[in-house]
Amino acid sequence: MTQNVSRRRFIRTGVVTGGAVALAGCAGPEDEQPDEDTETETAVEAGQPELPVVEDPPDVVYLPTHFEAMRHLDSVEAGDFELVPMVTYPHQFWNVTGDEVQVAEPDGDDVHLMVTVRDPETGMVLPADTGLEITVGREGDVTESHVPWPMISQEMGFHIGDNVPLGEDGTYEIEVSVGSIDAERTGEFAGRFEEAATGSFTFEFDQAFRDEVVDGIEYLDEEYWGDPGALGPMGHDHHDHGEHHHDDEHDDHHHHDDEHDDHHHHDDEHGDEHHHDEGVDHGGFGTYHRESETTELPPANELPGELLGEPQSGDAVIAATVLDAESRFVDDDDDSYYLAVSPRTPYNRGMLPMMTIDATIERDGDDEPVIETQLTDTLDHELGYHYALETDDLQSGDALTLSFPSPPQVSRHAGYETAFLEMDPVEFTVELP
Amino acid sequence: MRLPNRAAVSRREYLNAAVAVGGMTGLSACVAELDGDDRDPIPTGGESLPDRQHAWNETLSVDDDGNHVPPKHHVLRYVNLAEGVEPADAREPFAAALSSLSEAIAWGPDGLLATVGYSPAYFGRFEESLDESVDLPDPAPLTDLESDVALDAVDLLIHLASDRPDILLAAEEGLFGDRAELNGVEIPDLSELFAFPEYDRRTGFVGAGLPADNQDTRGISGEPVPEEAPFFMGFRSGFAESQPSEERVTISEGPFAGGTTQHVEKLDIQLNAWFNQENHHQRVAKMFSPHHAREELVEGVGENLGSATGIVPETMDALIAAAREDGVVGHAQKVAAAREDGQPIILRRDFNTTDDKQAGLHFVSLQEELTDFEKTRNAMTGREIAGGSGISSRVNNGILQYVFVRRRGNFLIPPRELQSMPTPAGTAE
Repeated sequence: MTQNVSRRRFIRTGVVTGGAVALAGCAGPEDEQPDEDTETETAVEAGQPELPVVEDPPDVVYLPTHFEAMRHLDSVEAGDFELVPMVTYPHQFWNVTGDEVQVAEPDGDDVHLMVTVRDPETGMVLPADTGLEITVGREGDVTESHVPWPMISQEMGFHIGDNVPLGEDGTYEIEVSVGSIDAERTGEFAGRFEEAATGSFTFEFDQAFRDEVVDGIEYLDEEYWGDPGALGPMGHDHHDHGEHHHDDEHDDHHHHDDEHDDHHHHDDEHGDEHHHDEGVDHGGFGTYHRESETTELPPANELPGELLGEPQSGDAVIAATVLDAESRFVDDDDDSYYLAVSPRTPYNRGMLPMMTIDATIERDGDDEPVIETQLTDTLDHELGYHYALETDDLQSGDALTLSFPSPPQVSRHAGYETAFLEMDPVEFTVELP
Repeated sequence: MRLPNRAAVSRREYLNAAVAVGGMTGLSACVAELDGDDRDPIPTGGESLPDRQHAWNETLSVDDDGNHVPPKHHVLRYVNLAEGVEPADAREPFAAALSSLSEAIAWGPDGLLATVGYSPAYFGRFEESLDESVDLPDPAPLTDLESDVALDAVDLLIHLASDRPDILLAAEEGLFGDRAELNGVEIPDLSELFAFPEYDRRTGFVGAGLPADNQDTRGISGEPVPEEAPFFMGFRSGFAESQPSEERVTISEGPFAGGTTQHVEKLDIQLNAWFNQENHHQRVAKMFSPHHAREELVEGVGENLGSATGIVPETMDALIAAAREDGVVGHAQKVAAAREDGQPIILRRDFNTTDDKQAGLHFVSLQEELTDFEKTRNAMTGREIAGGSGISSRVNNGILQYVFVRRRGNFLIPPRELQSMPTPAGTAE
């Protein structure tokens, strides 16, 4: 398999954005469409669609220039896991090594492969970051192995993915291996996801596929590019293209932007900008309040136990809650407590795995901290993915400080690569349940 | 495997392909290619050879920094005794052939270097067990990431190496092919003695220029391998300070004293992510250590490092503590934890390969006891480090994200006097 073949991929002359330039929410006037110059600038470089990126994005979760477009494939059962594959044009993403962030630009790659790993019973997305391997080859042909990156994206949440070079057009077989889930597992997940598993699927790599995914790209109105906010999560039912992810029953914290002369932005923390796009299967975008069915983690105020707070650090929201002996999280021991820390992306409440979180507990009258320890990453069917500490030495009034020796090492899709990096410690005052 | 069109590839790539093809085809191609340059005659042998088969270092040249320069071209031949042939039957003819070969070709990289090793499967042919002074377990998976690794249970593994691909192939043809004479010396015919398994012949290369010239292969996208890199991953390796002496890996007691054990691991390498999705800083962090990356200690392929990587061995606790803060741990950083008295316990004689048109590495490791290899491999796996920090089993865990173990084999390389069909008791009959 040489790489020369891929030069003819994704060659689109002229209109990168496909037939109808569907700018989100913009049914409107011609001057809202990209002008001739812009189109020329974004004309495709042989190899992959050249998509505009936000120049000099802010250090927070920000709106990228366009919604994701992809082909969804049927999900596959593999051992305890449900694997949900998706294939799309080669993507730009960012890899995090310690504090170092490096953009991975598609270069001779043909597709971006993604798999969401779920629990088939609850539908919950699993933090699969171990024992990952993808094997790719044309049917009957020799295969090539890759280790995909655990990554986060605004629309897709946590998934595993990579840019992969292929070869000639044809039917490709992909095998995906997932290791046992490394995190501690509690509740209905106890004893589950202990075995590695492999699932496989095929997809047709041809011009029809390339046309489909490139035609599906939808741009946001340029004035939103780089604003604080996120594209809404895709939710489970992406096969129903007729369905809109409106929040019709939404509370009054948001407003629709059906007319586009109304472009003021609110800056309050819980934001209420909501834009929805017509005719396409996306979850809107902005800073509005997401419905919990579409998010990986429950809203902070729906976490069990006593919520200590939800301060922000590096634009992540760090919710912390304490559960006691009444709960199933501690053994029958009146004095034990369970501290669960749930870092999440600020708008979509997506999980943030591969972090190191340290907890320090200080008490009036004690010179030394009562506790100083790293939290254990844990997966629970109610709490979701969180970082935990069980202790019998906790009192109301204690000062809890959480610090982040290393930020989430997951790779990032556009909009997430400047956030969750510099993370200052956050503080809480303990209140026992 | 077929020879490429000579006009379409560089000389290095052509010669490498010729070695990969092997046989008379490969040999003729090498000879034709090198004859164009007034090919030097094959240096004759006949000198007395070291007692240790693995004593190669004194013949190797040394670069400006004092590092041994490994021979450029390598062949691994996996060989079984033919049906009905007992070790006792093969002993003398094989010894005669090996002796003729060493008479015909000088010992050294400008001639031929070789080791002959025997697997636990070979020793299993005898009633008595292998002498207990030798630590040679059956090959087995060594990590959680190799559920379908193939375990080599051939009788013998012969490792041939030379800077001259034509000599390498001629030697091979003398031993296993139709060639009856080399450099005026008659080579006995061994075809009745041996049978060849399906996985019988592996080849490879090492040295600046060779990987760059051979990067049109699966596992590499584009041409990212630097010209000066001796290995596919783009960095120098085998620094004098990170290799033990041959003495250290020699069996010191018992009937096989003077020999060594050999582990051969075949890895496929996936370099798309390594070169195209990460930068030099990240590669240095993962190959060496985050400290090396932060302090910018490695320039280009690492020639500036001289003869030492500069890794300071750390305890497991220190490694975990560092990993927590750094979010990444380096390969050299991890394996240094397996050192004893500051010295590594395995001697690496690895080389790159493009067998089956797949970028890879034949990792040949010599150690006094096979468990020394296992200890070092466990250090590389970094299981405890992954458990104690945000690092996963592969991502940000040294170079584990880019290598896939496909095969493993364990062999005893006896001292030279027992080179041909030794008994488990270490006698010559």
